[in-house]
Amino acid sequence: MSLEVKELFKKYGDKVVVDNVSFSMPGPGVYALLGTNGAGKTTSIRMILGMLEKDGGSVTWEGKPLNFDTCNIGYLAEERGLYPKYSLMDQLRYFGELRGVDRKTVDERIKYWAERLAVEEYIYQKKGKKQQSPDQLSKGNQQKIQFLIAMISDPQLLVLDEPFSGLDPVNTDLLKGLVREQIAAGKYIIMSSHQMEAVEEFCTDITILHRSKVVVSGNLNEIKKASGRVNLRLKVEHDISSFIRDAGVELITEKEYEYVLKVTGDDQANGLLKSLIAAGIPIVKFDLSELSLHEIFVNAVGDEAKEVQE
Amino acid sequence: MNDAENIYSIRGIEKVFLFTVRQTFKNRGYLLSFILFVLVFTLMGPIQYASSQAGRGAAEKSMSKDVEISDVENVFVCDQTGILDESVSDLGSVDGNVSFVSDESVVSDSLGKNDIVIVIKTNETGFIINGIISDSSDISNDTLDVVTSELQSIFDDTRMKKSGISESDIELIYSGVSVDDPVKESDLYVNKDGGKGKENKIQSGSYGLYMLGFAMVVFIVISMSSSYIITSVTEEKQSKLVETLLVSVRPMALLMGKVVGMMSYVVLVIICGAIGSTLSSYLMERFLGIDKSNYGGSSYDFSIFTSFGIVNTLFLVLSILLAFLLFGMVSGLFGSTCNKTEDIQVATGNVMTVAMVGYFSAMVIGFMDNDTVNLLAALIPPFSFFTAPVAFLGGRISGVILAVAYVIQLVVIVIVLRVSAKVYRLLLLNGNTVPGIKSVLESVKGA
Repeated sequence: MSLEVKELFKKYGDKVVVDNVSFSMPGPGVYALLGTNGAGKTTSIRMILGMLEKDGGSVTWEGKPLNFDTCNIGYLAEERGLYPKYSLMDQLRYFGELRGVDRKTVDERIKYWAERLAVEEYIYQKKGKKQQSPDQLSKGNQQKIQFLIAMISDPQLLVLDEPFSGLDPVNTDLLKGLVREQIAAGKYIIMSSHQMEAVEEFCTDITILHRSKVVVSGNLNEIKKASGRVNLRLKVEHDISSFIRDAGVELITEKEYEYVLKVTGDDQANGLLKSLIAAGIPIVKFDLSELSLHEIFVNAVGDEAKEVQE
Repeated sequence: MNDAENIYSIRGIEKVFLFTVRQTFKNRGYLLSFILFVLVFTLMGPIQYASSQAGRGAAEKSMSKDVEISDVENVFVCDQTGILDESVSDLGSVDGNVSFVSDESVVSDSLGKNDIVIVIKTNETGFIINGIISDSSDISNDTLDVVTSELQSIFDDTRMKKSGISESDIELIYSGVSVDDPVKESDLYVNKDGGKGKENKIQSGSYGLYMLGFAMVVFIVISMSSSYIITSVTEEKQSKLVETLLVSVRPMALLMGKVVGMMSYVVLVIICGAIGSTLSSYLMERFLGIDKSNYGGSSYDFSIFTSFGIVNTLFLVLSILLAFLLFGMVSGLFGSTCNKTEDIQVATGNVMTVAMVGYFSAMVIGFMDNDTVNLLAALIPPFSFFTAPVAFLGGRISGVILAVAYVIQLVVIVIVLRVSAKVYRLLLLNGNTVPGIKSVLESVKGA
């Protein structure tokens, strides 16, 4: 199985909102679709899933146009919601049946995922107890129910738009665990998020959109390798500001002799290390690493992204 | 777009339909409306009967003016024509002794306060019956009128018998003309060319009433469903469920499932209402002996659905379904332009305005009954949805014109269907639309 997105193009009037976006997923894994607000992520996802007409390009799944007839799709939309007054059980069954799952299997999956997501009490009515209507649920619980809806057809392709936003740390960890299970089960996952650390934890490939265009695209490791190991975290027991200045290394932050530095590469970092050893300064931590996804993103989209992050 | 998608696919419509119907009946408001509508239909007959009886009672009361006729003691009859038999001793509801005198002057000078003299004589034009009471009489003029009328009816009966007219002929002469009997199709039709031709026309007054009745049903069906469809679509858009839905079902299936679901609700209301109404009529006739003719037709006349045979009724039903389909889809489209609860009112107002125009036009067209207007209204939507089948059944347009009217209606429906398929999804996903036709047209341009 493979997903192929080729030269997606969309414009509203004269304004181009998605300009030739291409990427592919030859095998299972997590693909991250990143970008600032208004960069064209949601429009791209809507076109990929067939919700919006494309003005150009194609999206294929196993060589056939991708839609819910050719691929079992699960979708957690960025804009989440539930019918405010209908019972959750009715809604979950409805979505299951819309996706062609028979009632018995739907009920089994509801039970399974309700347990995993710890939302049974909202779905199954207890005798003598009035059930909460969906609009009375907390945002986090509504989000978990939405995730359940996305999983109800046991999808091959899972599209998660901002999956962790609005969740407390406990529920974020819960959902991350479930996403990891889906990766292990060989699912194709497209993830879009502003939380770079969370995305970095899962994705193998990325596309960064900026003002409707692709500015970075490819395998995350290769992108990181290409930019070299430039982040140096150094912890010592004395002030080493003069050594840093002498080595021409850029100081980012310092707190209690723990320095975050930006080096040009391995040579500059090793040069600084040698000079510290030569001066007999004990070194507690020396961590030379590649760019983080956050940095790759910020470098790619510039100031606009910084505003978004803030 | 190089991977063509069938935007007209309605796969999954049955699931949307079932969900819509289930949720409609789970909704307390709609369940209550259902029960109320069925109750109103069921009790319409008894209520109409009760109100007609109350009206009749009031009329009779005002007519009778509370005549008290038990205070009459003696009625002296002076028949100068010699027609009456002197054996008459009873004046129906009038108490008191009846006696004949040869000359009114015999008793007129000594009349008591409760005595009456009735004089029957002839003049050049016919017979005269006069009632005389004393100056100090306790008898009112109303009582005097009743006594005189009673005697007049006995006098008429007697003189006819004496003229050789049989009892049955007398009965025939005095039998009233009923206006309460059910009106049959054959009674209503008049031959356009003196009975030789085949073309029949319903008389103007009845045509107007039929038009009003049919347009009312179309209007009820539209008004009952459009607000629900708009609310339901807006709710989906507002609750941000649209994206989740659109990866499972195509927009046409989503829209049509709602329209057909709501249609089922309305049809069920009408069927249950009709059953209830028939049942109450049966029970009233069976156990109270009250025939439908005693109360039917006192308000809207829906007999057009039962007066023209099953085939013609199917034309009416078909027209209602087509109207429902069109207005249902338009409601869905307008619903997809709403972003907040306040917008629902605007969108519902737009749909209902068109429906109101159709309804009132049908009313005017029906009572105006002009051939050219009938023809144009039957052909031009939205008027044709309210008028075409009635114009056909009323003999105002031919079967060919009706067929053309249906073709035009279908073309309009197909256009709206194509527009819906193109823009419904776009409108649902757009959170910045203005409720109404403007957003729909802008989306058509942009699609």
